[in-house]
Amino acid sequence: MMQKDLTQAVILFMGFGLGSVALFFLFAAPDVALTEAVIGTGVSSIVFLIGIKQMDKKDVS
Amino acid sequence: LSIIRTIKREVELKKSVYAVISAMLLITLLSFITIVSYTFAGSAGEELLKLNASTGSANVVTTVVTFFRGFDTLGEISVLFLASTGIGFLLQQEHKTSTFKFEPNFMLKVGSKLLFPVIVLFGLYVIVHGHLSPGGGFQGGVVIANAFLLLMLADAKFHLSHSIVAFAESSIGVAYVVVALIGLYVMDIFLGNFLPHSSNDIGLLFSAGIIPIIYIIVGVKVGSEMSAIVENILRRESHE
Repeated sequence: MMQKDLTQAVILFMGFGLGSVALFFLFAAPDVALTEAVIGTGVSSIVFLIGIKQMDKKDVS
Repeated sequence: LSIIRTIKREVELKKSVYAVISAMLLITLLSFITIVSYTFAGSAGEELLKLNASTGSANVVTTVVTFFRGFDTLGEISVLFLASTGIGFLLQQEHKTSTFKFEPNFMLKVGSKLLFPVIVLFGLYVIVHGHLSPGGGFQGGVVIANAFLLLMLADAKFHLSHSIVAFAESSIGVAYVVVALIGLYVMDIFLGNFLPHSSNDIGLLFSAGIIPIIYIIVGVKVGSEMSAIVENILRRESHE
């Protein structure tokens, strides 16, 4: 929440996603856990990382 | 300077106090949720569980998503199609040949090509067994899209054939409506379950009538849409 480095923020977001996967699994919702694992920590964080890379390029040039 | 130091110390103290408070709140909330979910084990859920036996599907979530709320799933798929179309429209303003600045490592290429069929196989398993085990079309479709994403990241020369993806997503969208309309024709219900679905063969691969067919359609649709989105974003990324 108070992280200033965007890349580290995305990594922390992935960690948060993994934690919520564990919680979903504990609360007997494996469907939601699978969705969160694939979408929340997989695709969305990669899209965030690509966006951060583009922003860095614009800052330099 | 000393004042600044004390202020910093106070800020850190505040941060730790906030962290402790939020952790306690989280724990109380979780325990509350567990107590509530054990005492009022939902009436609507119970009814759906009872109804689920008549559809011959082993997974209640799948039955709800593709059968009781099949029309909503059709809407979700069209939302995904609109999102993919919009991203493609926004990001394809300039057409340049994409080149990465670095040559990908040999090990990276071979490793990703080794891993690719395993991930695709897992995605297909999740899709096909959607009515038996957790998972289904959405999850399996995104797993397959992730496999394509891996290939795209590792090998710059790999490109999805745009015509194949477009054909897959449009024809499979039509197939969903066609299956639903056959149900309307045979059973007088939109998305009627016109295939045999006796509750005796719960747990078999070929059971539950049209539910696995609809989930396979959803899986192909989601997989092609997500692959198209990721391909558009990555290609745009490699232009600049």
